[in-house]
Amino acid sequence: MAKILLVEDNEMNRDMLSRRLKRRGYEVIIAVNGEQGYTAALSNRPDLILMDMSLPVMDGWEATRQIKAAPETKDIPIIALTAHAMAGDREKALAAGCDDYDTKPVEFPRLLAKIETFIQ
Amino acid sequence: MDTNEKSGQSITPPPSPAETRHAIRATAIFCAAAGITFLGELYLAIQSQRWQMFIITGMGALVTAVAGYCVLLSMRHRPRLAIKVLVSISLLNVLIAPLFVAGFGLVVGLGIILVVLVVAPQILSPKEFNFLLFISVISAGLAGALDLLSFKTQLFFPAAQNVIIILGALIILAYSLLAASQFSTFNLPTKLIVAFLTVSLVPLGLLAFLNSDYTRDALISDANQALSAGAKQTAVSIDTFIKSNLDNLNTEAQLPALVEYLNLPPEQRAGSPEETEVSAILNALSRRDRLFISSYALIDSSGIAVMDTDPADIGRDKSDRDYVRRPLETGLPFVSSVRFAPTTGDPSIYFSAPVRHSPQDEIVGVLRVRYNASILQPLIVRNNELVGPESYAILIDENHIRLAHGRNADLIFKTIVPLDPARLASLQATGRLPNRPPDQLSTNLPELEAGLTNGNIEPNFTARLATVDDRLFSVAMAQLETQPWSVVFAQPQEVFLAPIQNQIRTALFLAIAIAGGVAAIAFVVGNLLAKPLVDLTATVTEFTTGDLEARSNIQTADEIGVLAASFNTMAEQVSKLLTGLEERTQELEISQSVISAVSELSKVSTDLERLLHEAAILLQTRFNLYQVHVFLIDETNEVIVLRAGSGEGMQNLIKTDSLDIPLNHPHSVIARAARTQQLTIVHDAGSEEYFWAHPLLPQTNSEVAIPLISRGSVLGILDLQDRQSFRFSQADIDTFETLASYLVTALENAYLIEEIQEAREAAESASRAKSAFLANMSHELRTPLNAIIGYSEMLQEEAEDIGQEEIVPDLKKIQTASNHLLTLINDILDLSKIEAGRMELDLETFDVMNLVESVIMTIQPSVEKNHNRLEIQQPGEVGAMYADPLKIRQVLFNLLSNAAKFTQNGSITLQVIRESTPSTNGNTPTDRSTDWIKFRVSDTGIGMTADQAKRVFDAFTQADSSTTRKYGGTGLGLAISQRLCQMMGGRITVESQLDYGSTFTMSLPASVSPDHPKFDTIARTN
Repeated sequence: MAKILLVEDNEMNRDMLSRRLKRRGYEVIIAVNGEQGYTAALSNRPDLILMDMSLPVMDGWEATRQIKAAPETKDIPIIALTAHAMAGDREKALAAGCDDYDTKPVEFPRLLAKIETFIQ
Repeated sequence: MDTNEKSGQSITPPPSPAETRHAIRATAIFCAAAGITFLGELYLAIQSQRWQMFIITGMGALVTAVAGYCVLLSMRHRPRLAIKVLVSISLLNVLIAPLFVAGFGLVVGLGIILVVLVVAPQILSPKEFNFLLFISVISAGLAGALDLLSFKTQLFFPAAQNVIIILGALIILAYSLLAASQFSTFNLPTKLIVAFLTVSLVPLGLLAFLNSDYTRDALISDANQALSAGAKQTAVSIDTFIKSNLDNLNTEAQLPALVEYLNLPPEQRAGSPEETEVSAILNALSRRDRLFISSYALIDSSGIAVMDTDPADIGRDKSDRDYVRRPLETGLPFVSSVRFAPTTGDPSIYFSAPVRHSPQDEIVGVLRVRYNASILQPLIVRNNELVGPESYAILIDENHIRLAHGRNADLIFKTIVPLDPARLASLQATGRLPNRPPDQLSTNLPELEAGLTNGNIEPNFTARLATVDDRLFSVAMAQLETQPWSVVFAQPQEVFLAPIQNQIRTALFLAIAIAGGVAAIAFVVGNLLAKPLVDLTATVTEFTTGDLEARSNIQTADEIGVLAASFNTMAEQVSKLLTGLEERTQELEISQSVISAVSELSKVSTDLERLLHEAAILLQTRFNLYQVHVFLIDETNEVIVLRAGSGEGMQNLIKTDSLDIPLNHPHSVIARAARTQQLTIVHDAGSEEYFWAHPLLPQTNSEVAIPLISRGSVLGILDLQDRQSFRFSQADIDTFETLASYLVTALENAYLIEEIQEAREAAESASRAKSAFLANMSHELRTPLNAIIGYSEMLQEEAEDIGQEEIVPDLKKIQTASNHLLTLINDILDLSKIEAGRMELDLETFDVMNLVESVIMTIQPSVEKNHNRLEIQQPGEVGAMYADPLKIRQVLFNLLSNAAKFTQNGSITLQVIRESTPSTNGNTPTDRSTDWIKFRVSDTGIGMTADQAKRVFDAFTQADSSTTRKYGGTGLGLAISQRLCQMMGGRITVESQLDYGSTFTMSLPASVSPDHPKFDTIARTN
């Protein structure tokens, strides 16, 4: 079964998204900040990472850069999730090394479609 | 004065075009004249074959060639050299010519003076010109002198002289006219010299000419009279000789022995005593003149020479001779013409007289004497010099054969002009001419022949009397009584006209001497007279070219002195005036520059401290003042605070921190000006009773304090101080006041800008706060919404899983409401971005119909929800466009979803059109012809009233509030859509009819310009 690392600081969103993903049969690992996300990525080697960008301790952009910099984790696809729907958010996320981008609130079927394209 | 002359020849200004033109003209005229002269000389040289003329002709050719070269030089812009070369070669010619041909020198000399006068002054410098003129005058004089000295080589050639004089006169005339026409261009000394020479030489020449003419007439008249007398006297002497001979012979013929002898019968005569006696008588008679009497003969009435001193003739028949026949016929003595005796061959003249036998006076014979005709020659020769030196007579017979010649005996028995052969033969046959070849029998002097022929009418004439001597003679003629002969008496004209030549010579020497003297005097006087004027002119020129210090130092008491003094006075005044003007202008310039500098500063500088400081520095440095301060009154309105200043005292003021003056200070000029709101001035601090001298500004002697008043209240004081008393003129104060007004404006502006800036900063910070608030709010709202939507979706799934489907509709309502809220948040965010100008366009080229199809796919479910049909119309090819596809998609989606929302069981039509002409309802920022893409969404829905249609694009407006409740939606969609279209240079228009439906048309340029209108433009168009 595919393993997804969800990096999300908001507890409700984290809970909701992980439960919905588990319902779809994914194994979900949780991290609450960028630093934890990076450590989890290194230790668990997930198949995909869903990365919130506004994170405490280390933000999503920095975590993405570090994950993409490490040879062990650089091939793991990362989908950025952000509430910042402002212009430039997408470019900023892609520039940090994210492979795709989606806005919060998450349109779940669309997110699933994106996940599936990477995990195949 | 030519300043180049002073500094030397090295700097010569280039010739002006006028100079070059003038030089070309003058040299060309000279070349033409020289050429014509050369041709004339050549003709004369060939005619006369005189070597002197060939030399002159060669000179003429040389001068012509050099003149031609000078024309070329002039054309090559070297007029000065051309003139110098021309004058030099001419001078050479002038000096050489009189050595060879008489009458040449003075004419050409005068010519060269004129050439210099005409050609040089415009081209050469005054110094060069004067030098050349001087040389020319000298040369002309020298040439005249050479001419008169008559060297041995000199040819007196009347024909040449005439040509030379005529040509010379023509050249002189031409150049005189040219000189006269250019007289105005001569400089002053030249004018004086020319005038002097003209005044002295013209009358002299005229007088000499008239005098010589009169003398000449008188001399010729005298000579003619003398010659006539001489001719007559000579004629009389010949007549006397003939008459006396005739008389003598007549008397001798009456000797009785002769009659007796003749009366003897011929056979008794031989050996008779009578014969002896007659023979003795004849011999005795003939001995009277042994030299010339060649024979005495007694001839009887039958014409036989019965007795002759020439024995050979005795017994010969002479009856056919005129000297026998004429006495026999007339009974009168006879003299024959001169003829060559057939017997002796000598030229002879015969006298004869009848021998009569008394008592009946019967002529019984003829006594004749034969003279050798050379008896006539001494009779003529002895009258030589009778009427003066070189005068002589010629005896000429009726055939114009010379019988005697006072000067040249070789000419005797020669006719004046050659005779035709018949006449010659006849004359030779009668013994009138010797039997010699015809060329030895004549001269060829037609003038003399004509004079002789006409001599009876006009006995005085002129003629040349020998082919070798081409002198002209005055001739007088007289007729003989006894013979049909003439005596002409002649004298060379030059002999008796010699006094005239002397006179002319004297006059010429005089003229040369006078010309030289006058020229010298003219030089001196001209320069004396002209020098002050020239100097004055130079001074005036210096003055007018900007040297205001130039003054004339001419001290003479004449008009020029007065003029110079007047000029100096005038120059003084002008100079003062100009200096004053300059100072005033300088002051004005300073004022202007300070004013404009301060004005500029006040425009650009928003930094009040700096403006005041720089204004103070400008004023202090430009006006060179001791101190300049700007004080402002503080908020308490009690203290005047120094805010800016310039000057050495400023540092002290700052150091000691004594910068404030109490407004109520009783003696401070500054405080006084602030209190009274009046300009306050102290001209002389020392004499001012209450002047408060600031201890740190001890040198102040004059001070002006100008209040800076704005709307009736004093903002501050502009204070200016100087060491000098009475430093400030009214003009200065005017400038300061103007500056003060600028400072007031600057202060007002500064205060105003301060206020505006504060307001703007407040507004900006409010705006920033609002934007941040909106962004934060939307983020903070999204996060819980995210959870709400997520959990409600999850709950729906789980409810279905656990079979509690009855709660699913309620969960869906939560989800719908959450989604609406999310849309609302998104729309508010969009609108706030657009209005903050932060919405960016992402322009790219894309296929319009592809975009339309993708939108249709998305909208289809909404369309079907209300049982509507959607129809796509595409009347023509639409192709690609350059725009932001996401924004167009958003708008199109909005329009279509609105149509679907407000239509039930109806139809929705989407028309997509490309238009090539500018849209009439398009909001084109430019007038260029652009393609327009139109998306027209028509529905058959509920439609709107006109009022509703008007407000449909305003934010939070649906047709009415009840529609929101009924149809949902945020009421922001159309507002956002309209603004997005406007960002791309297009717009949305609406046509609607209540209950029948609406048509929304989105018009966009096919190629959207990147510099799309920003928020303010959009705001204005709304």
